[in-house]
Amino acid sequence: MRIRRLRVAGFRNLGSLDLEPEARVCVVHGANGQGKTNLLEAIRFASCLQSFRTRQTSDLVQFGGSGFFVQVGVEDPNGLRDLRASWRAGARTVAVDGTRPSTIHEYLSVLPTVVFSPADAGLGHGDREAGRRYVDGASFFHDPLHVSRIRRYRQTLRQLNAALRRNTADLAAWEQRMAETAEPVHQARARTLRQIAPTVTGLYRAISGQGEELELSLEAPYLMEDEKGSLGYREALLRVLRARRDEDLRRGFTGAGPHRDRLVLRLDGRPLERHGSQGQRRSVGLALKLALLEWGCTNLGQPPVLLLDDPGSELDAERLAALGSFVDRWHGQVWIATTGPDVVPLNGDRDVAFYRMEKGAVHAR
Amino acid sequence: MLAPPIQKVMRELQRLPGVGEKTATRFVLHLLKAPRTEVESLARALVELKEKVKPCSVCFQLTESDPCAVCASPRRDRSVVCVVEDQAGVLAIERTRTFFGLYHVLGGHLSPMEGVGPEDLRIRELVDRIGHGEIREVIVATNPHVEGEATALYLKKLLEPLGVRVTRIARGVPLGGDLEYIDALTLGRALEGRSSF
Ligand SMILES: [Zn+2]
Repeated sequence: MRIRRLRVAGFRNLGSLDLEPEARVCVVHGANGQGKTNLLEAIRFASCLQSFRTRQTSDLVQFGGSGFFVQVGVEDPNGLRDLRASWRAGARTVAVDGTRPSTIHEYLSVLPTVVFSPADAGLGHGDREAGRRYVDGASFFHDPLHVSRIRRYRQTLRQLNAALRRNTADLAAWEQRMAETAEPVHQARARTLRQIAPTVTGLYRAISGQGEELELSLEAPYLMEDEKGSLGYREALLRVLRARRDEDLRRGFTGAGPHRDRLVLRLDGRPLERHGSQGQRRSVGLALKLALLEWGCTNLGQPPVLLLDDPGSELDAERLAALGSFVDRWHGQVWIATTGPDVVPLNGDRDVAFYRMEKGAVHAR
Repeated sequence: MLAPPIQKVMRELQRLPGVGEKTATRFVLHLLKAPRTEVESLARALVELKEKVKPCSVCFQLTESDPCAVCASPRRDRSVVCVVEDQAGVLAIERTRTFFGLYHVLGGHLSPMEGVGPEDLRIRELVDRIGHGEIREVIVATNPHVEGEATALYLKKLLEPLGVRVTRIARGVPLGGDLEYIDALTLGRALEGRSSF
């Protein structure tokens, strides 16, 4: 799928903006603070109703404004789709092809995107939250219902924690519900990771040019070592929850469950977060994101839109060259926000458009 | 500036679910135009509602007679009790026309976050009813969302040791939905396909 139209109003420092991008690769360049990342962020918000920079949607509102509006026209094999999202006074309104979607899945499936931003450095540095978010994003491409699984599980976790704080008589029922709702989340994550791993390791080899063996695994450090294999996940988690009940009651929340799942990355058998060099971690971070793109393409039948935010700040010349040749070979749409127009070296100049950002306005070059 | 009596009625009306300022204004203007008899009859009906409708002392559904028509009916099967969260649950199950047992209205669901525990629901009353010996099966028809499922689990653990069969309505029902919004046919099938859980 490709973005064919982009309209934005009231979003961060972006003025009223109306673009009709025609190229496969769109390079948005400009000095820092001009708004190039904001443009990618607006696309991302239209895609998944979340930013990759903040959890607070109110942060996205222009200074002094009261709301914002983003509209994208998306070309896919079935024709042109239209997504609109606006946010005003704390309330979000969305539309797909001019009507309110009956489920949020309907909206989220129109324009899948993959972001690579400086924040992704956390993936290689062992940022646990970033690791779980990554695996959940990949699981969502495989099965959009993953969103509902996570929601159900999180609500159960909140209730269980409240039951622990109050030490209520129904605690055992919440522990059991926790185990029941946790299992599908953990299993979907593990399945996704097993399936995406070969793509990640292949891309890592291409980006790093090294022969090290990259291994990925999803670990559940909260389960007891001797019970991991013999019991199913649900039963093992239930036993742990019961075993640690006294401790959890004292703390007022539980330390066991998918919120403690860990994406563990190893190079030649050694944990990346402790033994990897800066360069290795960056290569792994990029390989993970590009693998997500290919995985999305395989599962959805068409390539998600790739958003590369300031790759020059995160990658050295060698890795930028590897990224450039990936973008050249790739068939999906790519948006690149960079300080200079040729930070990511591209060979195929036929299908590339350049936009210069200045003070929130776009100038086509 | 609206006259104080108008403001007063508008404030009262806006306490009702789904009534905002606009709807309240329309109601007030209508009442002002309506004949005095109509307004008086509405006022009396409201007071009567509060005076005459009480929870049934057996099953806790809302009723004018006590026990309610369901509990009093000789045609209902007294060995099966369907447990629902609220009156809306009773109405939804009745609409299916496939259930001929009795009801038990819990008055909500477990929610530690909102401070609702087992002692805040009519669970002790349910246990007492089972203690009388006539009930052989309890069908748990709490809503299929996170809290309804946990409430169902809690009841199963609590009631099974009392020697009754505890079943749960089948999952033909959409996840996270409310019984109120599920069509009668789907709910009827879910009721027939209930299972041990
Ligand atoms: Zn009754």
